[in-house]
Amino acid sequence: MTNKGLAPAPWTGDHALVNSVLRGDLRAWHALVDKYSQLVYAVILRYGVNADDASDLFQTVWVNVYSDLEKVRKHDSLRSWLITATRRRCYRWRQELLGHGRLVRQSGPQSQQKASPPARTSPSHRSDAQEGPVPAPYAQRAVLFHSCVTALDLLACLMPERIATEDIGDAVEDLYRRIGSGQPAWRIRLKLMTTAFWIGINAIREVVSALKGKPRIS
Amino acid sequence: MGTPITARAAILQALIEGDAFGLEIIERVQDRTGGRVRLHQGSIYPALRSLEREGLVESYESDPVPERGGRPRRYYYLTAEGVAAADGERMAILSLLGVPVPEAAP
Repeated sequence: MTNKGLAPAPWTGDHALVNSVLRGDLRAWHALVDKYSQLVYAVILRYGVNADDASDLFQTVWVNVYSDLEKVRKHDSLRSWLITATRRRCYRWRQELLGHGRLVRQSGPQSQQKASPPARTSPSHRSDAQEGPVPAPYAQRAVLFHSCVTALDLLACLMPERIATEDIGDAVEDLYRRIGSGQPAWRIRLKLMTTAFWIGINAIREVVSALKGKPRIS
Repeated sequence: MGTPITARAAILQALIEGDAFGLEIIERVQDRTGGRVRLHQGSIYPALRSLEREGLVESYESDPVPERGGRPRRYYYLTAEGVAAADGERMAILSLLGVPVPEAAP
């Protein structure tokens, strides 16, 4: 068995990763998002953001990262830059909701965070305030597709090479089309589960074929 | 599939039109039959691999495709034996339906 579905990352650190993204390497961009998506989400959720707005904020942060990559490259730590940018975005979100009366001031840890000053601003983060919010449906679809691909990538690690590239590749492309056509999230998740099921069955069939001595195909 | 046509026969007929990868074969069969025959992803890949083992089809990989998470597509095409088998399957289906079958060229 091989893990062709997840090729080893050739980047030795964040600077190498950012430089690769700047050269237009799409894999590096996906690797960057993979590496820090949990961190960004964790920061967002600490602000008591609901699911819809969390998707919005998540997407907006990554849009900012992409547009500010040159500045990120000069920053000492990508991690701290991301935390600062995400906090700033969340703080602005809270301020906007308070202004519209959608958010009621609460007691407890969340209100302490709300009352805390915004993260330190610097010229390098100026465009953070210039970006408009991304439409929620797009953000939700992007997050949904990303989570589906992550799940299938993990599954691909356990599969023979042929299934990892062909069956799972087609499954990813199919989900990409379904999500792009606006199918509801519950149908996408159901499709993901049934896909995982038949991929498992196909893998067993491949193993049985190999045990029966049928010629292997590359 | 909703009709008594095997996945194998449907794949061979779909590949007569030209090279195709798994999802494309499913769509091609669905389009050609107006949705009356549907191949499922769960059954098409074992059938394709079986046909490849029998030497009726061969395959090659494309360049990596971003919407597949950077994976390549695997395209299939009929071998000479595959073309003969596809013709045989088509004649058999037409005969079954009572459609006049053209005489094979000598």
